[in-house]
Amino acid sequence: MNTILYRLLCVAILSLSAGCTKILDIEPNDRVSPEDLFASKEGVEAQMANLYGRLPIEDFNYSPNRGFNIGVGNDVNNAGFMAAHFSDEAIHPEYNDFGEEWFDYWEDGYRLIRDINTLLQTVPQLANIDQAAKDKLSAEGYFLRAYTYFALAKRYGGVPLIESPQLYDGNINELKVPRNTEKETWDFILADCDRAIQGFGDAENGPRRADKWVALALQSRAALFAASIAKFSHQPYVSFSGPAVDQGLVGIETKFAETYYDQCIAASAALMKSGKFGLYQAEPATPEEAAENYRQFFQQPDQYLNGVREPIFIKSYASNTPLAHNYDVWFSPRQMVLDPNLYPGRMNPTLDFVDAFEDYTDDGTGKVKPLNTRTDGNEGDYNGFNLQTSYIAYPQDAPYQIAEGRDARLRAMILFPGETWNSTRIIIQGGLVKSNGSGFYYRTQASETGQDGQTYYTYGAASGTQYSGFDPTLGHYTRSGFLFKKFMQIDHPIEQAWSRSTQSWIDFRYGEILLNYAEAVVEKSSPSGEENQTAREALNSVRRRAAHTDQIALNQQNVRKERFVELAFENKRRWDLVRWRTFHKSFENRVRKGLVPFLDLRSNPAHYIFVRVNPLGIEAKTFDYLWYYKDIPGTSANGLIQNP
Amino acid sequence: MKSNVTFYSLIVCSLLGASCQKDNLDGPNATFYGELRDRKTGELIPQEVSDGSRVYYIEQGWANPPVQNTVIKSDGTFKNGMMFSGDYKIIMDRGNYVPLDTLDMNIHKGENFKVFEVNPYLRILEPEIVKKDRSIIATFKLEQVTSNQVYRISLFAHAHTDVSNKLNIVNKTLDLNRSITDGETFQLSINLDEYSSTLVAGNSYYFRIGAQSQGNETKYNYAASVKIDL
Repeated sequence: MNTILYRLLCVAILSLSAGCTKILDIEPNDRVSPEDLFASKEGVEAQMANLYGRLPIEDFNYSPNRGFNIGVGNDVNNAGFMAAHFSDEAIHPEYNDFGEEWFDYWEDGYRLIRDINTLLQTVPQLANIDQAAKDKLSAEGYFLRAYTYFALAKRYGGVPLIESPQLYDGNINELKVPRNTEKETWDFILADCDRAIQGFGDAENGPRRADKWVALALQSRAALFAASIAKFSHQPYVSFSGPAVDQGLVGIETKFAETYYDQCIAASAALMKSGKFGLYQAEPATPEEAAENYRQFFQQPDQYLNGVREPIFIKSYASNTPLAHNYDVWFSPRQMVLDPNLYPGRMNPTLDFVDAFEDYTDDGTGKVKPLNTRTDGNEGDYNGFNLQTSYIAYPQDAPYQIAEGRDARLRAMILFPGETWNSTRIIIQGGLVKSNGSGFYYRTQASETGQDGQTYYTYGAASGTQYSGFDPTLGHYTRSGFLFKKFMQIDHPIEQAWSRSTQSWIDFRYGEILLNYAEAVVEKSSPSGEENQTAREALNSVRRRAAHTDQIALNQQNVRKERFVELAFENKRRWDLVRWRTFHKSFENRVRKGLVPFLDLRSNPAHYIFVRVNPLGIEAKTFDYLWYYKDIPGTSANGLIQNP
Repeated sequence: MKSNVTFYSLIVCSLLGASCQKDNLDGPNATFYGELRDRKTGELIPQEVSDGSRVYYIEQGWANPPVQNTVIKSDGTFKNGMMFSGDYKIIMDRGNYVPLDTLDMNIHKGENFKVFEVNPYLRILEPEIVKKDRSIIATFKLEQVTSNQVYRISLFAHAHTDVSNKLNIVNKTLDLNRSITDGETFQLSINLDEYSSTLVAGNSYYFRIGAQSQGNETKYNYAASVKIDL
């Protein structure tokens, strides 16, 4: 019996192998050839959607601890970490993660580049589309490639520049391309932008796909990055050592900074002169109006795409698919999200950030105005509550008045204690001062009778679902004393569930271009009078949109402050600190600060006071200068020279 | 039938065992340890407890060998008990001392002891930290070893003896950004009233003077930490 089976098996195997001899010549059924794919409009759309979808856009689904497109092919739960948590913009109420990105953007980047190179190689050979369509597709290819190399260069410095798809012919060593210098890498990115700009012509294709204007915006941003590397990667800012430095694979000679700043100025100026873009509601009548405009704009950017528009390039999402995002789940206040499977309240803007705004003194100096907490004006004390200290009293029903008179954007981005979310009053309170003045509670739930005979609680209410701050359980409650409003769906609440958020991400907007221009002019060595004038107008028009009425001077401090407050939470801040090479100096054993509202029962009616603190459980953080360049993965196999 | 199964599984198991032996590599067989000492005074050079100086080394004889490193401990000694014997390039840089030239060194089986004599960027001379009324006052002089200017001087406080730039709860730093004159005396102080919740009366804390030189990839130089009861 067994022998018969074996024989049958042998025959079967032999016949199978006989049928397979031409296996290498068979066209695989699970692949589509480029000709077939690009034969139809739908095929082109599908391939371009694929490439755009994989583009390393630092959007709502980018997380420094997980990478790009979280939720696509992996778990959507990234613990609610965003780039803001890895900078001075925010702290996280549950975890202390910080530092350089925790993932490598290397293989994904080169896979995408390979597919883009294949596109660029295929398009000219296509028979069934006209030359104009070919030019547009190629231009998009150059844009996508520039964007991808930009993502590599800002992480790794000089990288191998691969301009056409590699072919494997049995010699593995031919596939190993050494690193180009950092200068060559940036030059290549800017040249790809130029190729894209040339290829597109003036036809509009935006804002969800690239056109000339999107390519110019990318060039503006990339040139500014390259210029900053050239200018600030030297003493006294920071310097590195090792073979990668000796061979120019990281760092650019200072003398090249000028060229890059000029390229940024030229690209930004082209956008500014195009007449197609402008700030949304550029001249509000009052700060209140400015705050509402700014908030609405980020809440629903898709509604502001007609006519002269601010968004230049946006990324949209689809609800209840892996292509949705989760900002509304992660960052709504605890009181708005009661589902035990969701984890709200994870974005806690820092007091450092809140203190970085101007008020409306508008005396032309642009100086920042930290919040007022004490009658003696000593705003440098982070020792916590003290019974002897004289604090400024804010009304029990309106503690948010502490933000009164501050820059409109602050109120548009930050939820202050006692403000309403849709129609719910959000309670953020971390302490309670006893009515007889004999003591206080701080971050332990307790109750106390006020002078009006009512019962008051440390966190502002008896139950954990009725307040949104400071309770150390669950990590649902803010530790900094602030919550987050930018981008959030407050006016039209969406279902509180995973993957429901679809507000578009603005990747490039006119406001950034204005500030790029201003920064390039400030940093270059001898700008012309006209450039100075335009840059000052650009800087002040961004402020004007926030209802400021004066003209502040064009200098490094003012430009950097304006970028901080205008572009906050748009995932730009970390890279600003990186390219200015100020990250390691501003984060040296630094604790990001918080502000605790205490309900003070010593008066009748009770009143709120605010106490500056080092938030409990928030560790001191250091940014190591060696993190400016990430380690290249797999150097023992790919033979690349490692970064410092 | 049952015995067959046992028989075959025995064969499979023995095959598995046989194949594993060839895959086994010899483990680390060398220990590399030593000290970082001041070439002039002969003293150990104290280090930052985190992100301090390191001994970097590259094992020769491999394609694309990575740079490995061993942390120099806060007392200025280092020890790696898991080294492979062989030829190494030793790189002594990115520390709080003037970098040395790359050194070729054979690490042999067993124990290898090495003292690296270096010039610290800055020497902190005659350090004195005292509590006076409600202040902690640090007084010291500096010896600037290189032509690099002094970047900054600091007084740090922490409950742990390894108090330093990366481990402190109070940090009084003064940016100098200049060269110093010989015999110049520096003073830094911490007003305890400003730090009532961090430096709590009744507890003990360590205080330490640090100074950092300008230059490429420098780190702080430290005096010994001093314990003071508040």
